[in-house]
Amino acid sequence: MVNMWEGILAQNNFYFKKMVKKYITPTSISFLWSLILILISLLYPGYTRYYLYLSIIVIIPTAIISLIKQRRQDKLNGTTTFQASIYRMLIIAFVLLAFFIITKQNYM
Amino acid sequence: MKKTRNSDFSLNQINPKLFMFGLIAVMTLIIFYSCSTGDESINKSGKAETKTKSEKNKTIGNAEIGLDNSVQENLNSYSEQIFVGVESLEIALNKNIDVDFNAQAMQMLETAEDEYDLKIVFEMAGIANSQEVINILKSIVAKQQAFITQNSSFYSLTPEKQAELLNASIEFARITYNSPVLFPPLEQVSGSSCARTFNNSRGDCIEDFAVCAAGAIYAAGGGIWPGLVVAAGCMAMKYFCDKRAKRDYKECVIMPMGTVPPPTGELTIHCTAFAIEEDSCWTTDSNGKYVGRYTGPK
Repeated sequence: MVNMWEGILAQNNFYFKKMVKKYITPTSISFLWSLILILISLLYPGYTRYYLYLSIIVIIPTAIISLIKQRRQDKLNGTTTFQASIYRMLIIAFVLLAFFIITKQNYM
Repeated sequence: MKKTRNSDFSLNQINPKLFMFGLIAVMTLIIFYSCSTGDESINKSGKAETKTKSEKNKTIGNAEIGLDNSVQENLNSYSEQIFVGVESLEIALNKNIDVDFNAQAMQMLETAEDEYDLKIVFEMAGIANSQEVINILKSIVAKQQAFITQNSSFYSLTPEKQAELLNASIEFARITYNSPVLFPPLEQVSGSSCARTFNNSRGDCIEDFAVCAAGAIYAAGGGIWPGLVVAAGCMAMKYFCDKRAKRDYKECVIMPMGTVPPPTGELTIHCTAFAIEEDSCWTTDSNGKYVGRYTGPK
């Protein structure tokens, strides 16, 4: 009886992990984050900065840990994921520069 | 062997942690620099604008010799106030979906004798906020009257000279009003608080974007799509933030224009040269501000 329950729980755990992997991706998290950011900036503009600071506190250590892991993996497997990440970051920096120029509203 | 290693210098030889932190620091600097250069460019343009304005002032000053400096300042201030008034009028009229002055409305407008008639005509033409529009028009007239009473030396000039000075001041006001950085001249018009608040709001928007951009860059480490999505979020946030700052500024500037200030001190009666009807006379307070139409004996 105990073994049967253990089996069911293990099976549920397996499906849960599969579902998490399927839906909770970096893109979906970013999308949700951006959605919340836009909603806060529209509904409660005063709290936007706090939300951003809180996000930065979470994002920076996560990104650093992730990059360190990538670097280690690269050394072990001879891949170039770290380099690719750096290039992506550079590309986004340029994209952001473009976005900043686009949103400049120098007129009344 | 050593020589070969030196010539094949690559990223792998650098301490990976040091390299990564260096890159992150450089990228953060790029973002902050990009934002600060944007700000600087605004400031630079502001400086350039100020320079243009001061040069313009000089030109105006040179154009009229013998005219009191305060009159010149009043003329510039007056032109700016008219620009602000026209802008507020446009905003008030834009609140109505369909404004149409047909033949009948035009005829009624020509025969309108008092504020009540004017209100009826405006409402007939589809202006629901007729009182607001009338108040703005009154405020513009008040400013005109204030200028007329306070600058008698201007009217002693020849019409050509007056036109020349007016054109120069209108051009000056146009540059000031359409300028991306309007703060110093508009402070004279609407009080410094509006411009200061607008400056602070825009500064906050840029700072928020900088913080958000740093987040987007770090998010890009996890993939191009997360980075792009966060960057798009940052863009939307900055757009709304700038828009809000502009809206607040406009509301702040227009607010004092909407109503006629309460009268202070002794009232003075003014009448036009061809004062046939009662409507041709009006009163101003001790500050030269328009109070209302004069209906008593002339």
